[in-house]
Amino acid sequence: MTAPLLSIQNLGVAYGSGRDRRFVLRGAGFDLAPGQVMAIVGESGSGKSTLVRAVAGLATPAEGEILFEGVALPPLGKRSKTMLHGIQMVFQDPGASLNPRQSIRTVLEEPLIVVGKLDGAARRRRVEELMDLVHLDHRLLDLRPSALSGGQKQRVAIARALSMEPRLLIADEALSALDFANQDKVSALLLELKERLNLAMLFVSHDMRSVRRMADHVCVIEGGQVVEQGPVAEVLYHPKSAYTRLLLAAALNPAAALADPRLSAALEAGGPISDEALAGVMDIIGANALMQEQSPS
Amino acid sequence: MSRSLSPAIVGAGVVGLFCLAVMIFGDALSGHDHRAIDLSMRLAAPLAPGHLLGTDELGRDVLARLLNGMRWSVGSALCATLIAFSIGTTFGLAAAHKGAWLGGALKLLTTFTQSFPSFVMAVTVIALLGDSGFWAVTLTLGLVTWPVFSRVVYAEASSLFQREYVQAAEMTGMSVARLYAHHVLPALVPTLSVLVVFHFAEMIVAESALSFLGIGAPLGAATWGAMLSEGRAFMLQAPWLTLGPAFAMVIIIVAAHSVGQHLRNLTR
Repeated sequence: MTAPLLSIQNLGVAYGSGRDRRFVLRGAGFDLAPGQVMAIVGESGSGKSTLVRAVAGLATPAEGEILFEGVALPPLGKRSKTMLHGIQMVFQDPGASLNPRQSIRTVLEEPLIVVGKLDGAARRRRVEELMDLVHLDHRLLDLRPSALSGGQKQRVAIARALSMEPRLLIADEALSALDFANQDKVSALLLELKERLNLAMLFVSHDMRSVRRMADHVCVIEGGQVVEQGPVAEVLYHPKSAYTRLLLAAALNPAAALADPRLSAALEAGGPISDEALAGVMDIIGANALMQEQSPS
Repeated sequence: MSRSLSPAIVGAGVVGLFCLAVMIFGDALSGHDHRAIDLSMRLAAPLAPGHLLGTDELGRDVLARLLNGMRWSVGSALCATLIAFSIGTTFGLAAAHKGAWLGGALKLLTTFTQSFPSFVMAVTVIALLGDSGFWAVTLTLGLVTWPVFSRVVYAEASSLFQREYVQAAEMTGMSVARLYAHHVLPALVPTLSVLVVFHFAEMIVAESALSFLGIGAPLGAATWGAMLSEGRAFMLQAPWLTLGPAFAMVIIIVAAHSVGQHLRNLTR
């Protein structure tokens, strides 16, 4: 069996201190092999972004361990260059993830300067290669992010992440700020890059259609706890936990989801699902209505 | 938004150039030494021969004293602003970069210092120092007003470190110096430039107020505050002694505010 690229063991993340200390993620654990995609799904506020931010070094674990290539990951500021270059992230909002004062060329060239392996001419060539990799016109290089569409910005963000030649790419809701047409294009691009570069990916998404298309494995998180995980076909088509079934029902068949007694109870009394969680489920219903047509059943 | 220059900003530019000329040439521009006493020309009205803005009770040229006062007041306000900006920005940036304890300490310190009006603090410090003079006044004003900069810089830089493009830059292993130079400081320029200009206008008023109270400039120095204070005794007899420095202050403050307003509009 291939050694895991990433191994998360009993991971817990807490915010606040003293009496206000509250765990937003607890006991999370899974392995991810090189070149594999793990989708992290769950409603808003379930802790899926916290999980990937901990892997990226942007959140500090309160307990447990994250091993990357067999080595425990320290906080971001203490990571070795190999670790830093090995893990890169594409954020949710493409507009906020690019410095509005820099040209696209500078955005893509800066990580190469930090790595320091290439001279000026080689860097310029590499920037153009990166643009080719994400299917963007070289004429965009001298523009500011504000002149680009949402899909183009997200491609630039992907190219920036790839400039470090990572082994693990984290896509934190990287499709959710895009329109349907761009969601399809960018998810197709991510899939193509995964195959070409043998990238492992942590793919956080609300969109079950993209999850089914991209992921090899799925990890379902509810209220900061992993409730189910396994190969994509097993989790999506034969879900074991009630929560996974609810999420899928909401994604695949909104009408059925609304008829679910658990959701109707929550709708009536704010019941076992928090308001925030409910908003997450409603998000899925709205965003994935198209899934109804493509339901495997 | 129109980026054409308004008459106010053109006027502010002219005032700025005039200040620069005065800072370089001083009272030589008036053709008189601001300390030269001529008792035969006591309290001469404006437009008297050789004295465009008249003379004071010792026959000293008012224009020469105004220009010398501008050198003192503008110089002191500029230096005090620079001191407050340097200290405040350094502390604010240091506290914002993952300095949880430093951020807490800074908040406590600025809350404490800002609970006293800065002018009252300046008066107290100068009184305790028992010394007056350009650097005593300038350092005191700079040292009691830096929390204004640190609070703003801390708040803005803290929010910048939460922005995704800064986090993406951190994830590349970029040095802290490069992170500040390329991602944090450029984003702070619009806010800081407006703050600096408004702070400068405040420092002009504060320095003049200290001189007016007699605890700023040393005795006999020609500063706007001291000229206002001395002119009070001749308010009816020789109103130009108070009107001159009062108008000069108003012009500088209005010019500074016009520049600040223009910068604010540009960066909005």
